[in-house]
Amino acid sequence: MEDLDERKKRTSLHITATVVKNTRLCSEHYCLTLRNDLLASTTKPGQFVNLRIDGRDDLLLRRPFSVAMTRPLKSLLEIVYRVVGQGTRSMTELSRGEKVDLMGPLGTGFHLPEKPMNCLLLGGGVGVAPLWGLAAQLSKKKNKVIALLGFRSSDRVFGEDIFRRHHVETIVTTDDGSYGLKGFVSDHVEEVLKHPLDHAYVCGPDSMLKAVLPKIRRAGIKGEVSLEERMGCGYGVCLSCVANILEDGVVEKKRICTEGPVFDLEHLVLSNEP
Amino acid sequence: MNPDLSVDLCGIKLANPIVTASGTCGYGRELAQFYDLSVLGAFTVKSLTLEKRAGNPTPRIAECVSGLLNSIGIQSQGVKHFIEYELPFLRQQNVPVIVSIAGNTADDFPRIAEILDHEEGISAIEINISCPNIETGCGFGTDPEMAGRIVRMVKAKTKIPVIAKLSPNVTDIRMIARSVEKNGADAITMINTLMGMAIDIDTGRPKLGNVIGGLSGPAIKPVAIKMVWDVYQTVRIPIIGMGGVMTWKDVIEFILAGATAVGVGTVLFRDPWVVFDLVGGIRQYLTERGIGRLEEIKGRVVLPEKRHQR
Repeated sequence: MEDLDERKKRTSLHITATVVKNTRLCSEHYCLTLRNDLLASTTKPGQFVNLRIDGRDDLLLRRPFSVAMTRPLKSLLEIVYRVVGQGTRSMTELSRGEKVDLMGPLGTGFHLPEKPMNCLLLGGGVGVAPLWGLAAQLSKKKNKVIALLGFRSSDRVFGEDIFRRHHVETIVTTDDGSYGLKGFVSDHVEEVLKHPLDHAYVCGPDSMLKAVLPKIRRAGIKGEVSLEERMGCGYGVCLSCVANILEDGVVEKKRICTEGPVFDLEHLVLSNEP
Repeated sequence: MNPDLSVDLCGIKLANPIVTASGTCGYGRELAQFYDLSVLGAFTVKSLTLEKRAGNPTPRIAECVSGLLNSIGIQSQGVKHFIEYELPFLRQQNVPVIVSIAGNTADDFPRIAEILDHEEGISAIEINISCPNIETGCGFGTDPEMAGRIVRMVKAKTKIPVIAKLSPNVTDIRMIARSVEKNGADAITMINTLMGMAIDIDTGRPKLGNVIGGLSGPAIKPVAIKMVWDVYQTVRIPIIGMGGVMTWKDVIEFILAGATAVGVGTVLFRDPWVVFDLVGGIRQYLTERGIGRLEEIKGRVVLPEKRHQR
């Protein structure tokens, strides 16, 4: 009976990865580098993993993180996390050699253009992370890429060098002007939209999306958006993380973890959007 | 020795006592990515409504210490969509299927039951008269009269066994249990979530889009155990006990309190594979104690002397 039960277990998506590095990137973001061959070789930019916080029975849920970068040849993947609560705080204690329990890769990823295009990457805060791997792949496929990345202040800026390393023209803004251009991404996006552009990739907080998406739409540029919402399960059963998505002219509640997190800009309906 | 884990739930033979809790496992396709659903004693689908429902605004969940608040609000494609697109899949899974139904009005329940009555492959209908997240949901299950009336109306429309899912948000759950039994319920599922609320002190706003929600997870387990024990002493119909099950020890605890089967819900969000540990753990517990059949320990909590037992 026991053997029979075990044979009925399907273990894909259930991953044990080994911590390689856990580095502080700036005042509130960390980068966790993990080793796992399957995840490193199958995860697409924009997909996410759901990480179990071990040793904390009081924290019931896994924590979802988009995969920032994969290095298939080295079996490595990187996730960037912002320390916001008890779960992420305890993640800062993870050290080399420790094992972490992951579910993934989950969700849909970004779509890569079939032929080289002019691409715009718009990221805000921790939402910059999923654009790392995307920038790398776009550049490799000879796309011309501009990135406009927003942070709250100079001590929260991270990852700028990754974009530059992949030959991405990179503009950084900070809300208080302590680094790069002063203001929000939305204050500077119109200037960037004057460049010839075919496709936009956007990931950031709700306030940023509300401010920039109408401007991108008005410029007549197609694109896709990676959404964030509080998640329960990450694999589609709890219906916690839903977004309003137009389907055949009707607004439907779609699961961000399963039908997303990446949605077509054309189909996304933000609440209170002007 | 290989102990017998099977249980009889109002005539439905379950291979083991583990039942998924409605609303925590969709309609089966997602869990089926992880294992063959026949490893479960039974599978309970997310509550179906007569018509499509959008559910509540986000955020729909908030994690609390050892608990989870939710206010999903029964997002549903409706019963007809279920029959057309989900039930055919479930029929092929070789697991008893419990179909949970919910209503905006009391009359919705018999109407949905009547539609389901024509369908093959449904082992039981669970009436969700205890959802705290829809306007009228909890109301049905907090009034003994109303709870009984809905059971009676549903029983009149279907030959499929009917399970009443009870709300813990009541003064005395035994009164509701008695009423549903008297009106023909074949079994009871308990407990649904406890009503709760959480506030973000930085913004001053509730953590849930719907302001209030239902609490699940290990935080509520002692409440659930006590209520199962109360109801076990009050009615003769079997109980699917649930509320905060995380490990096989919790399953045993529910059975000792009087549950025939045991539901798992919130734990599936973190660990859908937990079912294997639960079944393995129960088997080992029985083996170590030389107990041949799981049903032998049902309701066998050892009480201090003089305390009234069933």
